[in-house]
Amino acid sequence: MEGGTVTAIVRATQASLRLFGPEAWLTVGLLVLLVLDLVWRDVRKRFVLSGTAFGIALGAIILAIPLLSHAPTEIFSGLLVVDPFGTYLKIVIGVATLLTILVSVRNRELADYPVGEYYVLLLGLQLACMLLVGAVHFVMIMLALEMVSVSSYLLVAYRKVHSPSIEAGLKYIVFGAAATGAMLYAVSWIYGLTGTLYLSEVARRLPTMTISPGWLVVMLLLSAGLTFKIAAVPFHFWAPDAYQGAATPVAAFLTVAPKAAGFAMLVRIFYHGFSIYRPEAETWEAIPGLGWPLFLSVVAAVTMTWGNTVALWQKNIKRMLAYSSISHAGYMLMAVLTGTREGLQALLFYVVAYMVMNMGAFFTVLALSDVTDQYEDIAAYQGLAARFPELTWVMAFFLLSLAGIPPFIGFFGKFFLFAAAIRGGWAWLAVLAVLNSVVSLFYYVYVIKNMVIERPGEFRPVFSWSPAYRAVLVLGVAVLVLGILFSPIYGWTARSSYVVETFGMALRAMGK
Amino acid sequence: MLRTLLIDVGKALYLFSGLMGLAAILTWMERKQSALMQDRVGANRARIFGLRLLGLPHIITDAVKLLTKEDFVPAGVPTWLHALAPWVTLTVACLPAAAIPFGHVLPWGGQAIELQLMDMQVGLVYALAIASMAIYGVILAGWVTRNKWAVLGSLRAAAQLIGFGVVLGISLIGPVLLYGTLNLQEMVHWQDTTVLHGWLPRWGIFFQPLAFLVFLTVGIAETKRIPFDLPEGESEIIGYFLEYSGMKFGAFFLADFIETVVVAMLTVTVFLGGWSVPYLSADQGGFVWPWGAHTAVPPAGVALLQMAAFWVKVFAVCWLLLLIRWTLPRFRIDQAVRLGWQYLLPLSVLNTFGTAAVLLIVGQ
Amino acid sequence: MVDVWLERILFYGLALVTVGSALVVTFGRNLVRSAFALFFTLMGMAAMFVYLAADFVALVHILVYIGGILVLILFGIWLTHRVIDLDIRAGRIQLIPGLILGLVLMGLLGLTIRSFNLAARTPAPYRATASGIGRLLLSTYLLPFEIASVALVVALVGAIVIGRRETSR
Repeated sequence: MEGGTVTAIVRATQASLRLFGPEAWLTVGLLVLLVLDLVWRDVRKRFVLSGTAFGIALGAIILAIPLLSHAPTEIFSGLLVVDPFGTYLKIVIGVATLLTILVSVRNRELADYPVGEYYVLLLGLQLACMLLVGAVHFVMIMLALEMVSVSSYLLVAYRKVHSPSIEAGLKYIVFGAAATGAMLYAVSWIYGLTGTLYLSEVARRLPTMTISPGWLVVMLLLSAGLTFKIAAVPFHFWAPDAYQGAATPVAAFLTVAPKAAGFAMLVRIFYHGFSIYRPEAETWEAIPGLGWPLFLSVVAAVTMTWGNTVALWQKNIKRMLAYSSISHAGYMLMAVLTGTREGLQALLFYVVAYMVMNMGAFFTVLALSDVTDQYEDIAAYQGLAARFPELTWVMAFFLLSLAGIPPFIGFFGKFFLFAAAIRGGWAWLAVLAVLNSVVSLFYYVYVIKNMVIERPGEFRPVFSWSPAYRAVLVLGVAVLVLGILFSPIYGWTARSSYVVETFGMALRAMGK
Repeated sequence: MLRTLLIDVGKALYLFSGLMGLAAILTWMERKQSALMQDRVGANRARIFGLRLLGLPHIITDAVKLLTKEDFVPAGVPTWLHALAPWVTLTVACLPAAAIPFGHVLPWGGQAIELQLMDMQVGLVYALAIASMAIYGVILAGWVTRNKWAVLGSLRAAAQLIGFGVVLGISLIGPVLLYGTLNLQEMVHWQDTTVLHGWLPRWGIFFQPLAFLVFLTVGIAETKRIPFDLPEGESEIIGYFLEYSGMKFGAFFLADFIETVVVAMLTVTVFLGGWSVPYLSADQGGFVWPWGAHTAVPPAGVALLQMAAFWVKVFAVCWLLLLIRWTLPRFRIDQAVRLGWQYLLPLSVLNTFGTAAVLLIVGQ
Repeated sequence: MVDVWLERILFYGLALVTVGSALVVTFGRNLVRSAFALFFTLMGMAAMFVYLAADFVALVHILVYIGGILVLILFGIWLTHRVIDLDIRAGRIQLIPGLILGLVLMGLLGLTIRSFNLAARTPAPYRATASGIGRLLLSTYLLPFEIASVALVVALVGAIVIGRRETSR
């Protein structure tokens, strides 16, 4: 494959760019923001740049919406794919970015640090996540993954005068480098064993080969990179430190967008690369000998149990939420390993539910951080109800939703997940997940108890409310309303959950 | 088998002695040319049997002096690492020459000998890659002697060489786009013809003047000589080889001149037509003058003329480099680094874009 | 016959240098010495690329890793610690688990290699690789090529923010 003539390349690129709108827009926006940051020198800089960033993120979502119903198409010679599954997740990532930008504007933790570069990193992270969602070629996957990682490291370490932030960033880099290295090594093995880096080609060649012991190495090493990105055991160590050290908006964003992208990568690799699609049953059957569903089930079981158990002992609310997000990754892994369309649908639904409630919880902490200095210690939440009734209400909503109590959206999310797992034949895992949810109730309710029942301690509000406050209220309403009226989202997940049977159209067109 | 080996050894000896010889002559030329420029007499003391020969014997007396001087090794310094640094510098300085074609083919006993040590498809990248290693000798010298001034020199060298190394690569993209090859021999072949109805040799300098200027500037910086001699800066920090004496110092000293010759060789190959002699064509069997006349030259003569032309051109560029060295004052470190990153880098990127655009338009 | 033997001796010599220096990198106690040993590891790797007829990759490997990254590593060690006066020691942790893991990995690698009948394959003739790589980068792999530059811009911007000294707060 030596490429075609210049005209052919230009034409193919133009065709690809038509379906590449959101990402192209983000790339251009990123550079515009960089220049704007350089030329705009005035007191309103923070607001102008925030507004621009907001507009860029919003534009990406608007450009992505028409693609929601686009038939799955490969672009850029089969490196990326545009399909409803990916576009759905891209929109979720976009919404998470929008919310993050909104609460970053007047965030106290970020006030001392340069604003333009912050948004460049944030939008860069968004772009990388969106690329990762669509990548179906290992070169593209690794590149997008690395871009996600690098911008995450930098965002975590962004508060450079704040030593926990730097420490967290450093730990994150060290873990990340090891995980990426392991995954790259796995990819080189895959290339050596199959002779291709296209996921669809891997899936086509695998059934005809004998599965050599090398695949065990591949699976182990690959899981290092994958579990690192979704913060699952055993590569979760970075998460609590990173979420605690990072500015709260960044932490909120990191728990959602890279995780969503990471799950998309899991689905792409395991469904497109290591499975055979059975159209009649709408299932993806793992290629025999690889045994990835069993492998993932162990990871899922350990992850949810470990995350919940450790969360019980946390005194710092950001650390607690970090461990809770680790356990949620375990729940979501359950959906991936079923290999059914129902599982995918549950995953897509849960991503939205998780975004609303987890960002909500983080943003409540954030809103508090704007009025007080004691916002990270769970003990400091004593008697919050007396002072900020609205905030207490929504925080309770978020926490109960995270625990999976009806009628909040979290309940339905978990319901679909568990149902998909049971029907996919993973009843033991579902039972374990239910037990874990019960355990998780302890630490979520502990915070609520602190807020409502305990007597208020000494406290002095010094600062005025920020946009975070409003964002929190909106999300609080959303977590309730979406819980009751979940059907529109569920409808979208139904339409978005088919990952088309086999890719490789572009490949075949190129005569490979 | 043995024959090829012998030919290879012969070519290596030829090139190496050319390189060393020219470098040795440059040590003399530096004094004589600077003297001329500054209206002095210059080196004229050394005599062999009463013959002064414009001071040429100084080359030999210098060598004798360096070889017989005390080889001083500071206390507490690992001796073998201390000894390694100058030879690393010297070796790395010589290596890029291996990719440079010093002629076309030499007819020898019914067989054509390629006049190039290594005919590599990626010869240019090879030269750049080896040049990028030049820094190790400098770093090693600074680290191993633990002298503060030497360390300062090493750090300056690192800052300077990394910055200029980037520009060195990018400045050559324009010519590479033009020639469509990374093979140095093919580059010379591309230049071995004429344009404008046979009047102008098709040399790279006429098509890539900006790249030539940038490359030459960066080339001087890579040799760490004035105006870019901050790693040495003999009037302020004396340099990374501060703790060296005798022939070890001599090796550093010689490496500078060898680097100058190598930069001149690269310049000649990429921009000045390499071994090609204007209007001389091997296919036509002699000179084809622009006015239509033809002078026949036997094939061996063509080959020898081309080999001579290569050295003449290299010598001319060396002369130019010495001229620059004795004309300009030294930059400050911030000036040098800024020149590299803020002026030369954008210029070479601009040149790349311009060349690509022109080639695209002309190509269609 | 002599060529084959010469080639083998050269290959195993290079392999020895690569692996030996990698061991020095891993087990060396002095950071600067480890960094200098890494030089030989990287050179050996470049030589392996040459053996694979990937001349362009080999040279770019030298250019990037030896001419750039390793220099920066040395620079970094130098500027962050006063190695000149202090001897920085790198510790060895978890030697036994690492050894076991390495041996298991090696065993699996060996088993996998044995499942391919490599001896039956003849090496492909040498072809110039630079132009092919260039063509692929601008056609099939155009997107990664461009995205890599965006990723680098983002990384650069972030690195400058983290690294620069604040002049005005």
